[in-house]
Amino acid sequence: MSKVGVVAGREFLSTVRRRSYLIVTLGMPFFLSAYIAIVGLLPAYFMSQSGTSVKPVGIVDLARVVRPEVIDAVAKEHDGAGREAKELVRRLAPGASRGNVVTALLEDLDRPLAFVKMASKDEALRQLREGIVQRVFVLPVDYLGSGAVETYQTEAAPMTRGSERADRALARILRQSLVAGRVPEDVGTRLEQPIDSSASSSFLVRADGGVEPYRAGERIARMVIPGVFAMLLLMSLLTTAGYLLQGVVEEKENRVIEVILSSVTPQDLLFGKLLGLGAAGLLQLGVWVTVAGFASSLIAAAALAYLNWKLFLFCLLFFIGGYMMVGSLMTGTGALGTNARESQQFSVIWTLCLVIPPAVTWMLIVDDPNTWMARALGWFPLTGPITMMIRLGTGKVPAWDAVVALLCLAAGVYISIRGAAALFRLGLLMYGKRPSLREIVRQLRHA
Amino acid sequence: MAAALYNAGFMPTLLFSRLRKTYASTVAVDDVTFEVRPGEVFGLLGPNGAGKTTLIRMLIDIIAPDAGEILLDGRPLGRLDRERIGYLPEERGLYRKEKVLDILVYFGMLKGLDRSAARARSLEWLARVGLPEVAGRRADSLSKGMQQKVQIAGALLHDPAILVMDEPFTGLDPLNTVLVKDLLRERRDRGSLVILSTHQMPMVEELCDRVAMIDHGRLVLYGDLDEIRRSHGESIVLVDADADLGALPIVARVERQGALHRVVLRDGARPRDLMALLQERRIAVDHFEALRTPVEEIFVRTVRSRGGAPAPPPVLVPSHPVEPA
Repeated sequence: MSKVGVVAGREFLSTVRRRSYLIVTLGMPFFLSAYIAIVGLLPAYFMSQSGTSVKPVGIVDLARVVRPEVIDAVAKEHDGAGREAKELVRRLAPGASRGNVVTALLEDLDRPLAFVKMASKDEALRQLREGIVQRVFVLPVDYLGSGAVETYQTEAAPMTRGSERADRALARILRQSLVAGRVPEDVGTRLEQPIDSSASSSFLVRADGGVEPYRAGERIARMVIPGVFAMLLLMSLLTTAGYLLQGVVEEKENRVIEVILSSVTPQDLLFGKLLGLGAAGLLQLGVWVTVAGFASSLIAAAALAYLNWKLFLFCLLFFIGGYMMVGSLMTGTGALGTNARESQQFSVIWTLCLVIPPAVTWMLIVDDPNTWMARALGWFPLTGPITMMIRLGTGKVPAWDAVVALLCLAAGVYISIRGAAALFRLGLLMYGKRPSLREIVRQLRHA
Repeated sequence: MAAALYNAGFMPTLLFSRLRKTYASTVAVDDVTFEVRPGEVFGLLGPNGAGKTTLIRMLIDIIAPDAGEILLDGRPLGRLDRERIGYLPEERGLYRKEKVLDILVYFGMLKGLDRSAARARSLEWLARVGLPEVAGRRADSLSKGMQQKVQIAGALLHDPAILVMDEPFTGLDPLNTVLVKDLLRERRDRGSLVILSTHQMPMVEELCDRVAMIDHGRLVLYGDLDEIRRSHGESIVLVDADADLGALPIVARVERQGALHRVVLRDGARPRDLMALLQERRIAVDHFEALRTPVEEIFVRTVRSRGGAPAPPPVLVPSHPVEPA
């Protein structure tokens, strides 16, 4: 086995066998699911169980505009927003067995709302007080002229979702009642829904004059692979940074560095640490992503539906390159810090360098991935990995462009590992004191 | 190639040739040349900050020299040779939270042993240093002396051809000191190149065949220890006599030491010259004892005499002893 392999093996094993690692890796999913359940799903569950959303809504029609047959018709219709959301879930995760709670919530959202016409305001308010209806709309006599509607609800009634649905349903009832019998049926339907998105289509006109169907959903799904990789890169850097920095100071703290360096070059030691600790970090991330079943199956299903092997491969290469690049920079500068806090600050700076430029400009990059700015950010090794993932997601970047970016990244990784190894060597042999700027520059020149 | 030479039992010499290393403002090692031969324990001496550690680090290839080179049998030290170095640094420790056996196996594998060989040698060496029971214990549960013996086992388990030990005796009790001395002698007898860097002069007297002394980055004493002692030490004689010994021409000075006179002779004068003079002048003598100059005294005098003054060129066994400051 090569020295790099020996170092990587030890770093990996000694990290994953640590009790703190096991606790964080296995405990985090439980903690997070419990947290999400408490903060997110429990209130939603109780809200759906409280019954307010299934109680009818009372209408007191003093203006005499609402037609009873319209109320019946609307009661049979499903709510538009709920239908769309359900459709999206079905498309992204076919046969979704997980996320039952989400599906149930959407079902609830989709359930029709019943309206009851009432003769007088007094009677309506009595029923509201007794909890027979969830709210009461009163259309005053001058409604047609003023458009004013009075809404009555009890203090306990939910403020947000239920009231929005009721408002939407009332608007539909009023619109249909007002046009009924006054305009032809087809005009009435169009007034209700001027654009039917299920019957509409979009097209993309290519530079060569060709026309192709434009499916927005597919475009978004194409960005899923790069998006997932970009997120994984960021998360793995954030999670492994701690291990890397701990690994850098480990030999120094335990005073074994001179013995180790008598057997292995600083480059091999650094490289082995990057691989071993990186693998430990990725394993942790992998466990989390797998355990987070809902998110992972949703993403996996979307990615598989539109899987593009070339895109996947490029993203993987940029992921590895990006990790090596920032990881080595973190390790090199981390070795200069005299304590863990200082080292941490250095490492945050490198992660920000990786993320901020593409994060600020990503909309411009998606609009046109071949501008000089997008290309410069893509070729510069530090901003390249994430920028290239975004650019490749658009499907408009030529292969040679991606290859140039990869070569630039490889050169960047080589230089940063050499430089980091020099700083590593310098920092390692200085116990408790910080090297001067001059010494740092000197070491980098010699690297 | 090198391995083949070792295996054939042929041990080449190690030549530190005109080494030079400067840090930002200080010269750590200044044109130092010396040779380490097989079958000897070579002492590397010098006060704190003299440049000994820098020299060792250049041998280990942790630091690159600005000029000069280190040659093993006439050719520059290669990667393969480095695997045959066993090193016990002065700044030393163990991975505190790991098991002793795991640490030793890791050290062995870094020196090129495969896992099973590293494991077997680790257990063998733990037994040799008298700690077979600690293999499964965490390093931080061991006493300082035990940790040190584990470190020594780590430096030796790959059967090094070049052994470098920096202050190996600090923190050891007398029993373990004997153990380490025996290990050093055994390496020497097997023909390894053994370099011992220490401040403990009694150890130097006991173990070293040849020495190099570094001060302010320069080589100030170098050669066979007996030779250095002869040419460099003052002749001192303990005398019990009722006479004004200080008036004798070959006597530099006289000090009281208990009931005796401690007579320091002038340059070049030997104890037998004093004996002859006393007989010639018929001075009655009740006690006459020639003392060997302790290396410590040579060490202290050499360093003191140089003080902060600019360093003279290095001398190989200088012919003029230096007067105390």
